[in-house]
Amino acid sequence: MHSQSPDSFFSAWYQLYLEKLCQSKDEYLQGFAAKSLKEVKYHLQHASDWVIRMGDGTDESKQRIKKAVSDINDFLPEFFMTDELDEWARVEGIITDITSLKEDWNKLVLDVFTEAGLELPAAGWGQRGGKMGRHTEHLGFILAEMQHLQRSYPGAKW
Amino acid sequence: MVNDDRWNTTEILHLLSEVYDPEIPALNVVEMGIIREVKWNDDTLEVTITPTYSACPAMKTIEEDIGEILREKFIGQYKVLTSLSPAWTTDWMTDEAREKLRSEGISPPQKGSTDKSLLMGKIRDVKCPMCGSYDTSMISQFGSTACKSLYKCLQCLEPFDYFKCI
Repeated sequence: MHSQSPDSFFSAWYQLYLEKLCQSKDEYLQGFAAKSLKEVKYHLQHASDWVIRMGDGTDESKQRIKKAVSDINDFLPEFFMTDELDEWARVEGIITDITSLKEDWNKLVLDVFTEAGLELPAAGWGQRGGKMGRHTEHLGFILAEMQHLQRSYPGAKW
Repeated sequence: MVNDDRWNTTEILHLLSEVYDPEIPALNVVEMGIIREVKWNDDTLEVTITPTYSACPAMKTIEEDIGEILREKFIGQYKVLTSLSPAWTTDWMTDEAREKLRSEGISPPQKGSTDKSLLMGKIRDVKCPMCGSYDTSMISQFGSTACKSLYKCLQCLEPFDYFKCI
């Protein structure tokens, strides 16, 4: 549940983002977006299926998905925040205006949550700064996990 | 300078059909539709490939295997290029490739990858590769690899992979 609820939020955002990226002025990104979009649709469908299965499942599964959603809620507003690079890329016609995706994203997510019998938590305080390199304490643990093998066995190969 | 002894592109395609997909060893890269173009640019052979599913771990191996077979046969200078557009689609798999998938126990992708009902898991005609029944149901959208869904046959009760269309 802690992986499927963020995945459904992210995949919904990513699908909308890629749809717009298909019109990028950058040809490489256009190709990348058109290709990725075909796969992201499966990811969104998969994650949404799980949110519905959990929300519309047992009392236990419903409580768990609600907790997962509430845990992730602080991180959602940053989907629609921009930094200087985003602004530059938007002016150059490379990416879309990220803030404009919010309405469609709300609708996509709301449809899934309604079917799952869940309520979307109110938008509250949002964690911000990731794009500027300011992270929460979670990053240290994630990096430690990902670097563990290489640090323990320098030069390790399969 | 054109060297008349060099392999022509048909011969090279024939050679490349000995390179197999490490994830699905029954299929070679030509019948998968991974090889997009083979051409000589002066004295350098350019082989253009396109990735199947993003981040598919098989792609790197395929690129290396192509290099290996070209070196083995002393083809000369070569480059393996990657092209993203047009994006690979399961529609490019040959009928022969589909039949091979089926005989390997993998239900081949439906044709017409843009059909939304296929995507939404409402596929009515995923055929069991074991007994041929259409009475099948999806267990999970993602199976043994990202490119496959896990199904079960309600007739012979065997589980099987379905190669998703994209």
